[in-house]
Amino acid sequence: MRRKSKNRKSKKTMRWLAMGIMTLAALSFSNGLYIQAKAEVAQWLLQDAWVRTLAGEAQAKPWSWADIWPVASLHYRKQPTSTELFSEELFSDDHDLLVLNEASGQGLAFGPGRLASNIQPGEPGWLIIGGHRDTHFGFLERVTQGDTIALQSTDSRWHLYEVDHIQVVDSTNEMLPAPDEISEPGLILVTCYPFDVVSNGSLRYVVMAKKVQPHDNGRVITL
Amino acid sequence: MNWVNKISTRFWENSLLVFGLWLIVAAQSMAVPQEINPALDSVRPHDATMGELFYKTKQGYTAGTFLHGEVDIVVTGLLVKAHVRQVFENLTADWQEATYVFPLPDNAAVHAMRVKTGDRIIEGEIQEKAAARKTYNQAKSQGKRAALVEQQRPNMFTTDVSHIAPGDKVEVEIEYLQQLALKDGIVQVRFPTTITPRYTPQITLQKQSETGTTELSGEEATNTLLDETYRQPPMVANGWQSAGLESLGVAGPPVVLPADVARDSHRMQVKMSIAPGFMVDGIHSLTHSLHGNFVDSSDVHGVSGGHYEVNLGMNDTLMNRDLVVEWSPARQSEPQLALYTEQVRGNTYGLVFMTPPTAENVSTLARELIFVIDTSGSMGGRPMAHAIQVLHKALSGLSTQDRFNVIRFSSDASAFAPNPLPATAANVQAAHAYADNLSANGGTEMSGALTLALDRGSDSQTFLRQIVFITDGSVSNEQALFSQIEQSLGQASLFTVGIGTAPNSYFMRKAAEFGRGTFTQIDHESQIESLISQMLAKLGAPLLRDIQVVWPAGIKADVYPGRLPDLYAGDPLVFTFRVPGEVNNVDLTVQGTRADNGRGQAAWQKPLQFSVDQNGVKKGLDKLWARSRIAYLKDEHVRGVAKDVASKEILSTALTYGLVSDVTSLVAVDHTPVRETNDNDLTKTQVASLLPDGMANNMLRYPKTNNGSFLQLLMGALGLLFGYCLFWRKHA
Repeated sequence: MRRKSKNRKSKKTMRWLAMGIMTLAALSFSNGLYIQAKAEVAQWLLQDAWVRTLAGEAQAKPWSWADIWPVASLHYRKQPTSTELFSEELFSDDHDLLVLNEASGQGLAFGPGRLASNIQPGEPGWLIIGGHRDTHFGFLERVTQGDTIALQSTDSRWHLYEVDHIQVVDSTNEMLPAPDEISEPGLILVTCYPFDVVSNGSLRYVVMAKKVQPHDNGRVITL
Repeated sequence: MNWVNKISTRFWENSLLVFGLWLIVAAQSMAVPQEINPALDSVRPHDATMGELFYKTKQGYTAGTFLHGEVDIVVTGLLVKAHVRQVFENLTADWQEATYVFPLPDNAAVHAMRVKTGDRIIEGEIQEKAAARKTYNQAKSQGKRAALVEQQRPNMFTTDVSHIAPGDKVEVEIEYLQQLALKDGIVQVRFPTTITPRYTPQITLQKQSETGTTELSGEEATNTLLDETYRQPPMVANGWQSAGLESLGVAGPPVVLPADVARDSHRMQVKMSIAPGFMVDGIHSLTHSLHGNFVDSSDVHGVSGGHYEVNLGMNDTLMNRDLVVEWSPARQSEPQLALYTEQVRGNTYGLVFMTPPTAENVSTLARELIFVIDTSGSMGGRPMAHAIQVLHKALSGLSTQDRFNVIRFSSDASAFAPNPLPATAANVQAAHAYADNLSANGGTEMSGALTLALDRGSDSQTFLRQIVFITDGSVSNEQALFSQIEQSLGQASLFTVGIGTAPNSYFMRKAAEFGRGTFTQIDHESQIESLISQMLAKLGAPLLRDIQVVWPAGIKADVYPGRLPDLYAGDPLVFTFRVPGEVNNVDLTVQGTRADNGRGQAAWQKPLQFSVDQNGVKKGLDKLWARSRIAYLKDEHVRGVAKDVASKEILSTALTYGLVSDVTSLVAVDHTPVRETNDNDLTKTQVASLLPDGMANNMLRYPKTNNGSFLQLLMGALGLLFGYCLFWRKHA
């Protein structure tokens, strides 16, 4: 009899404990989902703002109270190699992202952002774009040397950049290059590294690309 | 029953398994320094650069030294006596030599330094700069503890301390004197704590890399805009310097964030004791929250009327922005004149503060206002936003008869309009829009902007030409820029507006002085409205010009500054003098030309007669006089006096009065060696400086690019699974 009541008591505690854990876990899970959803929805809302930008509106905001606006459209498609020409990856690795005017923590939740510079796509100097590894810039993991990244500027023109250098840096010790370090147009995409670890770290994955003229040397560039 | 038990046991096992997994994942995600995925090596041709700097020193330099500051500031009237203690603690397992670059107020007369370790106190002495460095290096090589305080720029100094034992603390105490002023009805003490990265023009760097030195001949120096032969801090990127000194073989960290230094490092304790000398409306600060009380005693200052004891509260304060403390005279008690005199070693020294007569400062001439706005990388973040706000405010203050233009500069300079435009509503509206589109980026090539602003000659007969320069002054070629202002100013006048939490006040104050204008510093957003209207009101002609101090025949007095600047409404007239012999009475006349309420000009004069203080209280007026003399001699060099002449004069003045200057340093050597002579290995460390508060760090830093959503999703999912198992355990 005593044993039974003890059992019941421990069972009750266990249930409360379980419910507590589940509540916390649900909160954590939904917050994670919220971040992912926000990243997706924001890009969708930004599309409309981008259309207005291309039509001539300056600093077109995706929603009325926003303090961010799109400054470029970034396009990346994994170039198919012959072996994976018909693989599924070909269709899933196609990225259209709108780049925001700033790369603050808040803004980055909505899209990759341009870092403290007013360099436009196609202009001389480093155009530096930072993005979250777990949302928009996760695809950088699969970008390789020689890949093409296309950027559309607010004047509707497209600019092609070819990846020529990929490196990992420790952000506590290394600085970003100054935008005016180079005299040709360059592009730097930055995200967290490593890709497959869930926590924060000081390492950054840096993809560097130089502007190229649209060419047709065997590769098909479709925009 | 049996099968129920079996299932329940299995459930326990499963739950434990899940829990274990959860722990593993959690633990893995907490481990911060991750291994690099070796599979990636194939796509990274230059992965050798990764983490190179980090492993250069064993501990990583930012955590190598713990820095704590203690600042005691005693203000008596308008005179400041300050003690700054820098405590360096070696956190490494090696003997250390620490180098620390730090700012002080730009008119500080640094006159004493001592080193304290445990009970030992070693007093520093003044020596010629090269000799002092030799003394220091020699002591270092003999295993002796030594400290060296050098001036790198008028408001930038370095401390070197040798042989700090592992885990040991060494304290370097620096003393300085300073004079304040009552300007626009406010007395302000400013104590800087960190240095905004400075920019060196490309042309200078080019020269440097060609010759391998920063030493150039006089003519070259003017041509290439290079002026000084200071220790140049290393570059962060393209001309931007950190406060580090890599050129000396010191692994210099860039400007860092508070999170990058050792825990609780780079904090200071501040105590101030203020006896204003007149009734005040309280003591305020726009940068920090003040605590304290009024003490009715004359112990600290030797003056009656009591004093305020002020501190920054219980917790130590981060050294990442200027500390600004202000007080204003209460109504009816605004002093018009303050005089300090002292007899030292057979000479009589004096310091005079005057508030010139106030008058309606109406100019009949229409104005041509050229706004020059700094959009370089160091302005990134809050400073840029404030600068744009200042520009908006100034644009709104234009009247329709005025003409204006806006020039922005960073690595290059460009203008809003090719020529100044009439301030019509449409033009001003367009300028507002232009201002909104400015963003911070690139270097600080200030010379080009000055050329653009100064060389656009227009008819100064009908327009009063005024240049308003909005910047943080983060340049390292100050002297060359002063020369440029001096040479090409013409009839114009130049006003500076300082932005940022750690501005280069020296540049701002001096540029305005050479530009015959005034300097306004914005420390807080809330000041923009009032200070800019105040400045715009001043933008008429100066109230008082051609100011001179006239002495009775037979008295050979040395007055500094040697050229008294023009005064605008609210500006104080400040000068120091030395009269040979111990005179008892001083009898002088200040005279000038006064703008007379739009009716032209009138001669103005004010006789001053007073008896000399003979109570023997040491105020340090001799040192303040010498400091003013040194500042004047440096200015004379800018104005074209040969550098070696000015340097010789500065050297003799600095040595006689025991002051740190660009040619003299303070050095202290403990003659008892702390180590065996043959055991001399030292790890050089550069103590980091904190990034000024509010400054965007993305000029220097990579962005934070992890949302943490993966972690949350994973932890959430596992938690749910675990909870689910636990919940249904008995129901199975």
